[in-house]
Order: sequence, then structure tokens, then C-alpha cells
Amino acid sequence: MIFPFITQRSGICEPRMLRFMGAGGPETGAERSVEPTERHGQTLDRIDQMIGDNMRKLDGIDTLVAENVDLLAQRVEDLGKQAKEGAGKTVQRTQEFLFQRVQHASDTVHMLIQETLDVDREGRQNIAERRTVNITDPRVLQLSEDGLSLSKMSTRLHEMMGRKLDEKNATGDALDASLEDQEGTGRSVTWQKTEGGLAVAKQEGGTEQASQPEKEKYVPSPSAEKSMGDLVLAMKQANSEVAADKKVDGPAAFQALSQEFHGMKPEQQDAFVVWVNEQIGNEPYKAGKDNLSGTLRFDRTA
Amino acid sequence: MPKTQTDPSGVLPFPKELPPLPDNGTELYDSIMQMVEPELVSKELPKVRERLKAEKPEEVKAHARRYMEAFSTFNQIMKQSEKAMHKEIKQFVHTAYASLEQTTNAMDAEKITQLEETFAEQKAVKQKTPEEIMREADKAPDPNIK
Repeated sequence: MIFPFITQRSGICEPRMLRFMGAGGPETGAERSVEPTERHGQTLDRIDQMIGDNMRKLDGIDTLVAENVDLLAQRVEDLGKQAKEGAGKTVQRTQEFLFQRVQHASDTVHMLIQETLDVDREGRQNIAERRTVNITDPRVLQLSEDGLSLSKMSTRLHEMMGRKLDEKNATGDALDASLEDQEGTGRSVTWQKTEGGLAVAKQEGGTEQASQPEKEKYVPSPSAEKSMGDLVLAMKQANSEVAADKKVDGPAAFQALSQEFHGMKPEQQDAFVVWVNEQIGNEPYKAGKDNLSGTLRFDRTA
Repeated sequence: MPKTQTDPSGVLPFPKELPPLPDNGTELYDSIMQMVEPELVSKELPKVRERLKAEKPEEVKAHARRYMEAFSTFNQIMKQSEKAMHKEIKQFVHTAYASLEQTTNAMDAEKITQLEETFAEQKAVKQKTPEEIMREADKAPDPNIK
């Protein structure tokens, strides 16, 4: 890669650098694991514990008593159920991990295509007196093909994960509903929720009246705030506005924000983009939603 | 396992398919348990009670112990299995990015060649022919030159 080293100062192709740093080869940090290792093996450890308990009790059981045979069978069935649950969680974690990586690769392909088209467009404008841009670069077609493959993989993974996500959402919705009932409010604020919509303002006289729809506002989670803070700091360091003595992982912060963005509804994504741009402030970057790929992107404005 | 070898043309192929992972937990459970204890695969689990009840009392404990040990072995394989699946994913991602990097490197090289050609064209100074020099010498002097 030639561009990333040149462009650290010039600002061209920064997105490419950002993406390759996050998931490229070993020299660019690919081995940095994002596996959900903290939960790894909890269910399996519980099964191990159950097996140990059962083994200890097994010797003391009198199998001449029919009830004890039932008890043994019950324990085997319970273990089977737990083991299947453990396998299910493992598959889910693995699919989520893969999905995240495929999405990231897909975003990278999209960014590369855009970058190539931009370079072509600029080149043509400068050299060939502003002719209409025509995609003739065969590598763009190659990249498009790669992107299509990734989209198909992503769709398949989404289908595989769909059932579990639906279950999760149903549980989440039920939880929100019960919280709302308890609070007596029409909304709840969680990390992913947005405020706003058609607000019902309670008047002093006790009558309720629908007010004008308010614009959605993103309520950041602590993790989002931290990631955003890291990213802004990385931007400042890249622009030499602050000393680079504090180590900050910009690509990881970008990845975390992208992940949050990906799990939101379209209106929440818009609110999220507004919030991100507020946080960026005067830095020469602008966050936006890529309507084609539906991903979060950052463009350099100066 | 995604293909990581280069094709004869030397181009690293972009992976076209996902790494072979189980669709769901039951599939993973059955694939492991089939090797460990076929009597405990998900289809056979509901029959465990009947099996144990049909055993002689002295055999029940041994059978139950065999099942417990099977679950213990299952657990050990399961832990390794997740690591193996993640390794496959990393391999898949690595292949994808290596292929993309190869494509972008080729694009970068091409762009740089184009830029170098453009600079070379701009720098090239056209040498005047003797006829051109003679023609210029025959011209009336520029009135602005004193």
C-alpha cells in the first residue's frame, strides 16, 4: 500500500487507511481480536459443573428404586438441553462475529469503489477537459463483483441470524413495554432509543394536545460517547491539533460506532449522524449515511 | 475453508463463499455428539428415559456414567470447536483483505505510472529544428527589445 503512508498528511484516501488498519493483514492490525471472549465458555463451564455434581451423586443412587432411575434420566435430559443451548450460543456468537467482519469488508469494498471513481473523476476533469465520467476501470468491476459476493454472504448470514434476532427484539420490546408501564411514560430511554417523534404535550389545564413532530434526537450510550471521544481525539492528533502523546485507537472507535449505527433503524441512524457531526465540531470531517450501502461514513471536508 | 492459494495468473482470489459454519446450535450439537455418543444426538435425547428404564438396575449406573462422560467430552470438543470456527473466520477475512489489497496495490501502481507519464510529458522540451531557428532569425526585430 502506497497511499496510506503518503496520505497521512495530505488527507487523501484516509478512509482506506482507516479500514485497512482495522481489518487488514497482520502488519495492519488484523490479528487484533474482537471475539466476544468474555462470555466464552460460561455455559460450557456450567455444564462441566453439573457433570461433576452428577458424577459425585451417581454412586450414592440406588437404582433399584424406580424414582432414582427417573431422576438420572432427568439429569441426562437436562444436560442434553444445556449442551444444546451452549452449542446455540456458540453458533450465535460465531455468526455475529462473522457478520460483523463481512459487513466491514463490504464497507471497505464500497469505499474502494468510491475512491477509485473519485480519482478517475478528478483525473478526467483535470486532464481531459471535463468529460463525462465513464466506469471503464476493470478493477472497479472486479471490486463490484467482490462487493456483490459479500452482499450475498451478508444476506445469508442475516437470514441465519434472523430468527434469533427476532426473538431478541421481541424480548427487548416486551421489556421496554413493561418498563413503560411501570414508569407510566410513553417512551423509555435506552442506549439505542431516540427521543422525539410525535410528542404529546400535557397542558396546564390537564388536556392533552398533539404538538408538532419533533426531530429525532440520539441519546448516546456511554460506550458510544467514549468511542466518539476517541475518534475526535484521533482526528485532532491526525491534524496535529493536539500532541499524540495519548495513545488512542481511532479505527477501533470507528468500528464500534459503525457497529452501533448498523443496528439502528433509519430514523435513528439519521439522528445518530446529527449527533456525530455535533461531536466532530470544527474538525475537517463530516459524518454521513451512505444511502447505497446503508453504512456510516466519514468524509474529509478540507 | 476459504481458498487461499493463488490461481495460475498469480491473482489472489476473493472468497466467494462463507466459511462452512453450522447453521444453528442443533446442527453443531449433533455434529459433535454423533462422534462422541450417538445415543445422545438431539433426535435420540427423548428416548434416554426409556433406555435407562429398560436397563437392568446394575447397568443403569454404568450407562448413566457413560452419558455423563460423553457430555464432558462434548464440552471439551465444543470449546475447541468455537476457536476453530473463529480461526476459519479470521482466515476468510484475511483472504478477503489480502485480495482487496492486491487489487488496490495494482490500482495504485497504475495511477502512479499514469502520473509519471503526465509529468514526463510536461517536462519534455521540444527541440527547435535548424529551419525554425533560421526563420526566427529572419524576422524583423521585436520593437519592444531595445
